[in-house]
Amino acid sequence: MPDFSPTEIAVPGFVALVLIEMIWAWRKRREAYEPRDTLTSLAFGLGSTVSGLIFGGLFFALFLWVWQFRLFDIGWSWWAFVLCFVLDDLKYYWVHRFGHRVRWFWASHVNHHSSQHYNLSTALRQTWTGFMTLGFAFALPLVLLGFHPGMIALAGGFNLIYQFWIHTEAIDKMPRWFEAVMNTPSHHRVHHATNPRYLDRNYAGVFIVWDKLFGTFEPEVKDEKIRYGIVKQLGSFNILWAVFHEWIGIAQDMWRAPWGSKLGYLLREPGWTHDGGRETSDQIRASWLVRQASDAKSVSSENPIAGEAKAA
Amino acid sequence: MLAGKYTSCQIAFCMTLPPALLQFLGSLAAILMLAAIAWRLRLGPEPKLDDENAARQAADEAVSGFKPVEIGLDREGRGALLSDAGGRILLLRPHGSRFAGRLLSDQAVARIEEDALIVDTAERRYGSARLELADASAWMQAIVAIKRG
Repeated sequence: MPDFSPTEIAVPGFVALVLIEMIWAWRKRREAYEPRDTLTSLAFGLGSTVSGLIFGGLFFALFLWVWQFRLFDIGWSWWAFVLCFVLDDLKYYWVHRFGHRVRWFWASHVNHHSSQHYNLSTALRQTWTGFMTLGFAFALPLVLLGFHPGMIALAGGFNLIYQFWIHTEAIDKMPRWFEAVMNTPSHHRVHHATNPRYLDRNYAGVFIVWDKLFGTFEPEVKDEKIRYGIVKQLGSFNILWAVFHEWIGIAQDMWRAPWGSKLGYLLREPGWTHDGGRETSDQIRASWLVRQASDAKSVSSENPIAGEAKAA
Repeated sequence: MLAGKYTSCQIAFCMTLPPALLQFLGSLAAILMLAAIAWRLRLGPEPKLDDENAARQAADEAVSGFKPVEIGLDREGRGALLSDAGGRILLLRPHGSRFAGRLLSDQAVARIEEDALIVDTAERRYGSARLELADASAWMQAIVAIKRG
């Protein structure tokens, strides 16, 4: 078993690339970075390594214990690692999808989305509270199949490194074949956007094919300005508030809710309320689609040429 | 000679630290350095609402589908108050180099101080905003009216 952590080795590269992107921002788009936002994102990154050190070992021990009951003996070989990497990325897709669709998971994952900027420092904006969700359970099928927990951790590390470079506005589009198969800056900008069209789309880690397969793919539209962040922007750079705000929100909502609705605030999608006081991503998108249709109708009724247009 | 001795002391100190702590301190130093560089390069200029159209767009970005019927734009473009046909009032104020918006609740408080309207959202972390508006007292009354429902 290789005794190294790819993410730890990659840290100097992360720092160098953030620096290069800052120089790009200085020359071309000064608003792409904001010092307090950058500091918050990087503090998230540092805190998440501490959290990972404390709780990662516990989960690794749990996986080693479960590994005793594996179905197959999959050793350490190149093909096993390739297979493990692909399956781990499929696992990532589903963990990530749950991270957006179940508020309990979102409370942790929201940390990665709470910046109103989209740059390489945003990639390092990682959660401190991942251990408080059931995300680890998604790896258990891989362990039971027989992949060694060390191999799964290695695949996860390389997956995270891949995802670093796609957090940028400095790259427009990659070659067509690459955009078709791989997750790219363009696909991932869509994922970080709060434009109604883009909400809860493109969950992929490395391979965008999972989104195409499971019906959650949305391509980036050329002329639509992207707004990054979360539906209700934080409006604060306080790191502790940024880390825990959604957990606090869940606790407050559950406390105030009637008994029959309490669990809904934990297990339903973010934005769900028992009295309809807030909106979910699906509701925001549905309202937006209605407005789009109504705007298109009013344009066609005002413009006789547009109104008469019919398909050939 | 002294410098050399000092350096070897530093090395000895570092060698006594656990690797994880050393890594933590190194990462912390890198973080502070990057933030300082971003600050020195003057990245992240304060955003500005140039006109009512910019305020309209920012409002729609803050609350999808928010269609203002009245707009109170800060003289310097450092924020705005907007109300829609449903009587909702949206506050836009800078957050770093972007705008962050809040629909005002009946907990919001407004007061006039030296030609400026101070709007306190009563949301501790979001805080308050200072806006120089042409019709500050009308907006203050509109915010007071939220309480009356």
